[in-house]
Amino acid sequence: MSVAALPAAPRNGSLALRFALRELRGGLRGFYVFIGCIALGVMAIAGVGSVAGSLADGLARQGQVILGGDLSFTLIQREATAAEMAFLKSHGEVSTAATMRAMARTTAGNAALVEIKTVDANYPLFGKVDLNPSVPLADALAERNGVFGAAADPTLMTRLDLKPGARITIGNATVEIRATLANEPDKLAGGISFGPRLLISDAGLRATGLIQPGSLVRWHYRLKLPESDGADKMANAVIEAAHAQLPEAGWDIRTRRNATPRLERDVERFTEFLTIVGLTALLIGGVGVGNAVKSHLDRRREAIATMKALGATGARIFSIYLLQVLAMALVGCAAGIVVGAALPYIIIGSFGTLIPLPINPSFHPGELALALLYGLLTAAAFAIWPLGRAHDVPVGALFRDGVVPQPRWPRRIYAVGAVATITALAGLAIVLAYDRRVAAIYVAVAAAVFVLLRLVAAGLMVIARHAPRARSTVLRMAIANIHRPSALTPTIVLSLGLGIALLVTVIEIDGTLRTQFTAALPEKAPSFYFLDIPAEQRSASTRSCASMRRRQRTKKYRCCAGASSPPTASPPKT
Amino acid sequence: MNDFSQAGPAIALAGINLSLGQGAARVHILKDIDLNIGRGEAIGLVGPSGSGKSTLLMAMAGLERPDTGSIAVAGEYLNKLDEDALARFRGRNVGIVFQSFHLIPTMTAIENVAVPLELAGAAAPEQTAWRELAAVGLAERLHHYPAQLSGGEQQRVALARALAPDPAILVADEPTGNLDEDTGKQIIDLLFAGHARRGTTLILVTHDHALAARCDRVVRLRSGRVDGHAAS
Repeated sequence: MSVAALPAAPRNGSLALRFALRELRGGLRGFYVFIGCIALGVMAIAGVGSVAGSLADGLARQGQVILGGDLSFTLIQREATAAEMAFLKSHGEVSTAATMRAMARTTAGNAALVEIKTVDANYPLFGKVDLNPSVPLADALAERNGVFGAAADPTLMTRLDLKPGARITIGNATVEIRATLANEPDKLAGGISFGPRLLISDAGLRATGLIQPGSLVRWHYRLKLPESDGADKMANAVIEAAHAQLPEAGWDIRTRRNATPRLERDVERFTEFLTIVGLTALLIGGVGVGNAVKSHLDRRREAIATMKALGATGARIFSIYLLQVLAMALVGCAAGIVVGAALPYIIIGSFGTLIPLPINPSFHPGELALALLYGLLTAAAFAIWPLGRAHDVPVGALFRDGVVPQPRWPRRIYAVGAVATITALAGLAIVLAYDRRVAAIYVAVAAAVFVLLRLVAAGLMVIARHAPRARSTVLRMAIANIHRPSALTPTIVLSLGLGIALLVTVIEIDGTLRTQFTAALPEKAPSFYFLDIPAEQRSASTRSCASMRRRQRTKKYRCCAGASSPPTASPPKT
Repeated sequence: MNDFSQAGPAIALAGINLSLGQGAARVHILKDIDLNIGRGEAIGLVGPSGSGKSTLLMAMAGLERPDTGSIAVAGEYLNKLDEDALARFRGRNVGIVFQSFHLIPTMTAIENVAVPLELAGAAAPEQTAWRELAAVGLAERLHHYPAQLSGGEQQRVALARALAPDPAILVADEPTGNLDEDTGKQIIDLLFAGHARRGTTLILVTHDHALAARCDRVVRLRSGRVDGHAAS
């Protein structure tokens, strides 16, 4: 073969990378556990992040519909001033709604509490109102012959025994119910309702005469931003501008991102707990990584010694095998990231109809990058220590019977590197946590568990070393294997202990979440509660409850809602 | 690379004492060794098993550090070099042929030969490796892995690897110990041909007195001490 026929030596990339890749030609034997450990932990973190991100996306996407806009500005007991309206209109399309409670009365004398909502021509900015019969909302609410129209929740129709076309009185006004409300897109944004919804026009509400100083009216101004792309940034900019330009407005501002703050809080907490489970899996995987790297280096000691004999420095050897470990870690991370990224799609594809949450499967590069970072840091944290030992593989053994592994501490630089990487891993877990206190406790406990398990292993070895000599050869060898140099006792104790720790963590987190959810409930919560029982039906409902076979108790409360006003500046005249 | 110009011997050992092992298992292997080896000289190192031949060879190759004494190779005092400097010195100045070949199993023949050249940052390492392999008759086996080569071929690759950086000294630790007689003879011929062609200082550890007799001088070791010199 001529020189010309030779493959050109690779000139790009470092020598360490070239040697690392050549060394990997031996196959992935011994690295399968390594890759599996990293893939599992990364998959857990990437999966949790992706599912949480998809849920947040879903909430945000639905958030526009739930909120009724990209932004919602709410004022209580007063309407927006001309300056405030000008500000809102300068940032996008505005829809105004007013909500209040009032009594609806029929000509027959029946009455019911209703949740009135006025809407304008822009309503709804997002989503769709469904009426039955299907008529345009503006027509349903329009004034005809001095009578305003309304669309009512079907519950109201039942409660007051009304038919379409029936008229009810609200304050001073008479309204005609021209349709029932099949779907009100922004209903959830209103929170708990004490009565059925009644949609009327703004003019209709004003005609009732219920808007008086001190009336408990909430004025909602929903803003639809001009661009959907970058809407979050724009929304934040509008909020900042509102605070800067109208600091005295006193309005409650929400964005589509926090349309349902409580659910979002729960999702964040849930995500954090599951991330902790993923981190624990990754930590256990880290022990597997450490063992796999040690085994790999033990198998490669002869090649390492040969390279050192041929002029490789210890640092070069470290670089070659660190690159190998990182390459394997990248393979594991890639596998974990692919599955983790696919998890939201798999969940929705398999159980979509069963999940009562608006998960919008989507790709979340930030979450995946974080999982990748966790995976690489874990691999490095657990690999640097055994890799550091490769620096000092003795070459002399090549001239003797073989290269025997000698357990020893790595050089200080590698010990410091391992500690620094572990610190970075812990710091990342704490800094990115929803609740940093919980994360800090988790990190401290994980470190304590590591130390504790090493102490347990050391204790076992001491006990085995001082155990009385067994008569059985098998037993004697077994005991000797527990305490001999390079015994697997610390590894086994650590792996088993951490595995059990993971199970306990999962069980504890499950218990904590259950407690979290149930703690919000009073100790004795009613199974059912009924609101706004018409006076003529109170006796019948009480009898109905009493007739139930099961043991039950019924309590009745009278409630009323009112407005509070600040005292006037001057004392009342007497 | 074989261009050291300092006057004096290629290898100078003075008052070398070296012990291996720890605690109660520590053994004093080399005892008060003084030895000078001239440039281009071929030395046969002989002695019974356990006499310290291989350890002395390792000390000269910068693979073991003596407890006391000094070692100068190619004008460089090895005692003064740290681990990394010693590794780099080895890569440029010392060629080693092991009894068990010690080729890197995941690299082809040409890659194995190129390793010391690449580590030393030599230009065109694969071209040089090709020439060295061609010189030992393996031009057709460039891309074979060690497992695909016979023992003799593996030792020829090891010899090509040792000679590739054109080292100042070439050390061989019983290079025919794992080969049959004919193959061993071919290897020895190649070894001496390489030594003669380049003027490399050769230190050959062997149990074979006939082989040692091919060297310029024979150094006998007994219980870690130089027991005698004999010119061939």
